[in-house]
Amino acid sequence: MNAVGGMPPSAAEIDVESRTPMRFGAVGNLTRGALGGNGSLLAGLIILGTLIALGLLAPVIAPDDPVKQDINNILVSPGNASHLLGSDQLGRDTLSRLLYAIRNDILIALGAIILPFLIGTLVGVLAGYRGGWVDSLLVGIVDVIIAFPILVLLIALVFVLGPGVRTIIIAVAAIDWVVYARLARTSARREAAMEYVIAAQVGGVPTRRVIVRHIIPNLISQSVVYAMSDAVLVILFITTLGFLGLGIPPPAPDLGTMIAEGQAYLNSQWWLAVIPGAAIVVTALGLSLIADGLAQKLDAR
Amino acid sequence: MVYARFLVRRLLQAIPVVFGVTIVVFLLIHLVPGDPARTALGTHATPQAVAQLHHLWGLDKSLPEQYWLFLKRLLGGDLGTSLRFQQPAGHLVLERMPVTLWLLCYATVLTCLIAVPAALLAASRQGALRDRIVRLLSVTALGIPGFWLGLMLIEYIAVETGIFPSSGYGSGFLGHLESLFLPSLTIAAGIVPLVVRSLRAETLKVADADFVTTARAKGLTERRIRLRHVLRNALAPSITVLAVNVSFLVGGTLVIEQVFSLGGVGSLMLQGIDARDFPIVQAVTLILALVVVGVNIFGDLVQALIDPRVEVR
Repeated sequence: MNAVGGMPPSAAEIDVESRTPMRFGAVGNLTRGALGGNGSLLAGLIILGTLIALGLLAPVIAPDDPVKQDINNILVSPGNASHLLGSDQLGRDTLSRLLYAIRNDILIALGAIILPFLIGTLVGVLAGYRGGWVDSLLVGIVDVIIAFPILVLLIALVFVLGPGVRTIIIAVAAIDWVVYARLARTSARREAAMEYVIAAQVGGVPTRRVIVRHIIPNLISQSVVYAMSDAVLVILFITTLGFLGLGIPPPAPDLGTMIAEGQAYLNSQWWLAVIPGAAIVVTALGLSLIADGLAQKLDAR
Repeated sequence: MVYARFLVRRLLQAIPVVFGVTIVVFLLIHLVPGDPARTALGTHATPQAVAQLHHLWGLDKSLPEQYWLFLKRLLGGDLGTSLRFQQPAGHLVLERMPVTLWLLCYATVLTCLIAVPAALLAASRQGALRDRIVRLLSVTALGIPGFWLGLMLIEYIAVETGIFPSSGYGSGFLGHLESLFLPSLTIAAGIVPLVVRSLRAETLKVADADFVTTARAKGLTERRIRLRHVLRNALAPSITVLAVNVSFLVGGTLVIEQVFSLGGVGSLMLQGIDARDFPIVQAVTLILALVVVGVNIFGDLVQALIDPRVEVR
């Protein structure tokens, strides 16, 4: 949700780079291996695909019920036959909770970015293409919402709306749509000034058709790329809300909640807080790599 | 003169934004399902107490009327009265502000100290191993939740080695510097990847510019070109990046204050949430948004000082 984006160098830049006889970044473009080109896309897809598969299969592969308490087997160490990753302070199986938490967090994060993606892109395209007061109004709203520290506004919204999955999705949508709208607006304005669009208008193509057939296809890819890096932020927001006790209501497993609960046992049962955190890092890494890979792929086109 | 005009124009531009911010903060309380006064007082409150608070908050008036009163009170410096502390909410926020401002500044300094060398290192040879390592590290760091990193630093650095305190604000300048190092580092870790990315991209772009080729043709040393010509021109946009990211910085501060038990504005907001203390939540949200607006203006001004072309835009 920031204006920076993670745009890697464009193809043109790279070309110029390799022609310039200076040491400054002249070498290495042809050997962009693991991190460059589709390497990151592939790696990201493998990471995220595995996590989604694990999450979706959680009901099948989880060894235990993630909310079932067992007072006789609390704080079991990892490596135990019945609790592979140990158990928590209520005797719940950590591995099962982890799998369900990954499932919940990824699904809610992806669910939470669909609404802002659709609303923001549509509003942005219409405002950017039409211009006039609609456009000015949009710019005004965007300026106001991005003036708030996102997490602070998100927490305030979740607080006033009351906790719950629906609240999280609504609150994220209410804030996040402006970023997609701004992105789409800028591109729509640029496209609207292009000769082929003007030609279409002059040729009598209806506005709706111009927008659907010409404008949207030309800007949607960058919104998709942004959505991937946005998903990283949204995952971090959701788990942060969970950590603060404002997230997915317990006992449903959430990575942030698991970390908050494990906090008290860091000294003796470190895995309770460390493992869910590592799961967040890996999930976010997968999404970031996909975002980077997509951006490079689209730029190289 | 041109600069003064730029300053005035930038301040005028901020007025509608601040106005909009007050509307959003005002509307927050109206998003509460049901009667906010009842929600705030809890289920055990007497109907009289609820009615009294309902009246005190002006909820029995029309929405525009309520906003007008809200705005009038704001202009008089009144941000409402905390239900829990029975004190002016604005006063409570300002009381907690020093810790938060310290964290924000400290984290910004650490961000620059880490991000600038990292970005220059990466951009010094695009695509080389060092570039790839910096990029892999920043992609990974981007996904580390701040609250978790904070817990790890407390457990594995503060508690195990005892080099830094695990909580508290410390006393005196050096005390703050020591006590707030780990929390500031945690906040910085979330921002560094963003700054590295844009500074790296800017550096690569500037390195391509004609004036750099000219400088090279004149026979200047590579080191001089990089520091005097490339870095200087890449810095201005990076200041904008820092200013834009102050939004994340402030959000990060809120959580990290909680993790390190620092008792700043963020902790106040979370306390307010626990106590269903709406005026506190509104006051913190409003003031932190004003901080972001202020920092953005400041960022634009600094950028204009570094790069005079900005003023003309």
